[in-house]
Amino acid sequence: MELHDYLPILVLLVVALLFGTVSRGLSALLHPRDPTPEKLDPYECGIVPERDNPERFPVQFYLVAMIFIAFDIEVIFLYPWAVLVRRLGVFGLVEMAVFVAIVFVAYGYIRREGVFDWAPRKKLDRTLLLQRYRREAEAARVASGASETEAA
Amino acid sequence: MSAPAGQAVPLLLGLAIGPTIAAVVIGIVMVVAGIRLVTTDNVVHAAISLMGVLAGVAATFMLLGAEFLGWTQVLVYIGAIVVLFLFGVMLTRARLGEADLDAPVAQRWAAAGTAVLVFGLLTTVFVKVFGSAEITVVTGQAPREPGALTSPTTAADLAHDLFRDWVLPFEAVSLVLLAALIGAIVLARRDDREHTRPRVARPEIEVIDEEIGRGGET
Amino acid sequence: MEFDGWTALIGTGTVVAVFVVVMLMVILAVWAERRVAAVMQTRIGPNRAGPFGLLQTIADGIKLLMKESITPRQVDRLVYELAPLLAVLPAFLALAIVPFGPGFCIGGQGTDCSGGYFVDMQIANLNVGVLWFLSMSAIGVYAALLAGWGSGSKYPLLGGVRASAQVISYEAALSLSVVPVVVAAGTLDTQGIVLAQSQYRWFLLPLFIPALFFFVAALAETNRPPFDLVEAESELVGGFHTEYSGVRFMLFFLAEYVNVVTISALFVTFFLGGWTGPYPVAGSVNWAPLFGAIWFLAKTVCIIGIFFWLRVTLPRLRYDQLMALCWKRLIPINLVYLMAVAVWVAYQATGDLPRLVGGG
Repeated sequence: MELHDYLPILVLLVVALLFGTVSRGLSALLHPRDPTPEKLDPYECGIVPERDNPERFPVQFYLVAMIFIAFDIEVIFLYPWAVLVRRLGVFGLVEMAVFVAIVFVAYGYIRREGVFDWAPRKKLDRTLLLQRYRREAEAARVASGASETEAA
Repeated sequence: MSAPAGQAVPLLLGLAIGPTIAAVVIGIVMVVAGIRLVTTDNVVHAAISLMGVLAGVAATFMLLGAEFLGWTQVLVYIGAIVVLFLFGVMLTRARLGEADLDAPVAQRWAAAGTAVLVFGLLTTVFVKVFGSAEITVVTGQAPREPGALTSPTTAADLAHDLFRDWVLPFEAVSLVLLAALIGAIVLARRDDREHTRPRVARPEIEVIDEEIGRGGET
Repeated sequence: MEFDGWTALIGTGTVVAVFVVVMLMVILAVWAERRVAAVMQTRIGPNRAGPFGLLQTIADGIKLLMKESITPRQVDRLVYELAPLLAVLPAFLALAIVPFGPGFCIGGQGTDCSGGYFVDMQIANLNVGVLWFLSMSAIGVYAALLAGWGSGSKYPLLGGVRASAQVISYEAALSLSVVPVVVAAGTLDTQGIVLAQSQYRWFLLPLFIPALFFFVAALAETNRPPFDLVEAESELVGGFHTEYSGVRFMLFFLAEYVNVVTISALFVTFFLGGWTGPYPVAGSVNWAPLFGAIWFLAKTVCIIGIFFWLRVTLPRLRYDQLMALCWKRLIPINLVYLMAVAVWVAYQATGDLPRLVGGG
């Protein structure tokens, strides 16, 4: 690596910063200033805010960030490996397969635990419902069977 | 654009001028950000300062010729770990304003002591081990001498070291990731009365019976 | 080649040229998006400012500059001001590794361009190009997160947290779908990836699944429909930029379109052969680099067109669908596909199985 490869990027950074600051400066010169208490309120579709900001979020957001870190680290290891995979041969393939497989175990566990299911969980889940349908169908069958035998 | 290997670099007091200036600037930025990080009362401001410190670490890596490592630092620490911190802050205490970080005085002294000790330990170790070592920054695809303290500059160099010489530590990383992922779930899940298996907490809705076109329960 | 005034001039010139080209593309893209949407919905669209309404974007820009830029009472000043900058800076910086065309030589001779200057048609030819792009999009997450938090009000906070969870999730998918490209090209440098696809060996066909996933992740990463949950008006008003108005809003808006241009250009680089094209661009013809750049921009415009087309066609996803798509489909399928590609490439490289087993 040559550090002066990064010099044009520095120029780009300056250009981007200039763009940001110049447009801010222009706007500061051009835009009207007419603050009213209503304008300065937090946005609430025009009504007076009544409730505080939510203090708690679903823990799943935090979990996603955790899992992202793990996958990010995995991907970071994948990149140098990808560059050299031609020369590493079977050894490299097996190495990475083991690595990916171990992380995949964790992935399977996470997935089974429902971290990736973001829809509100239905309290009555599918298996319970099926059991109930079967019970009801059975009851109905028994009832109709009973009435048939009575009729006979 | 690579300079010819072994090109003479302008020296001042035995130090290469350009890299030395860069190192000093990076150091100043890191120290200022670090001081702000521990003195601010606002956790989100602290996280922003932390980004500055971590960016300084990345810049240092690059100065030492470890380009891949530098960007890894940005990608993992700034791109993921600080995001996690911020999520942690926002999910537990989303309110604006000063978070009361009033650690007891005794704790502060203990923290200061630890910081000084860690600093001393690391400095001693690094000076003892690498004090007189010179890092040869290998540019491009130049062959590296075996055993020499060269920085694995390119991704290919790094891959060679990592996947040939350090196989076991590499595989151990996957176990660490496994442990981290499972740990995250264990922290977040809760026992549920209706299910035998504990699940990760998540909002629930009642299934309305009409929705499935059936009569009331039993 | 030594570093002198000419190198500096060429470097600066490249930066300015790229900046101008991309700004033009953004201005046209904003206009084209509205026109395309209008045509698809049998409306007329903006047609007043200039011929065909071409100047509409500029008019909008001037309008936004002159609008009152309100700073609500409850904001956290530092964070609130930092967020638009953190949207714009990574968006522009990511452009640095886009290879707009083949490099060419000015005033030098031979293949190594001795005595002259080599112009890259790319701001920086980093040998960690892919990583640079990913780092910049990683930093882009902070725009939404800090805007949401710094605004100190409900909808931005919800939008910001949602946005950042979406962006980091799809960033995992995005970075995973680039790995097969790196495996196939054997390099992280974008110019090298283009060269690996010369003679029509575009990665689109062998890597169709990663290409598709990259595109989906790109849509989500730039918060474009159908993944624009971040600013789902019906639930979140404007999402994380609800409290931003005037020029600050403009910066967010601009960053989104710059990101669209960058990511489309990178799709072309990774999967559509970059600047290679049917007309010889190998340097045998005068103006070959120019043709390369034209091919590159033409392909990029097509990809941007698909962004607009999808916007008009697809309804917005639900958040649980969004997360399920990323974590349950894109990521695992990509990993499996990656291993298959790696086996194939390693097999091809070593030629036959015994040598593959023996190691390289």
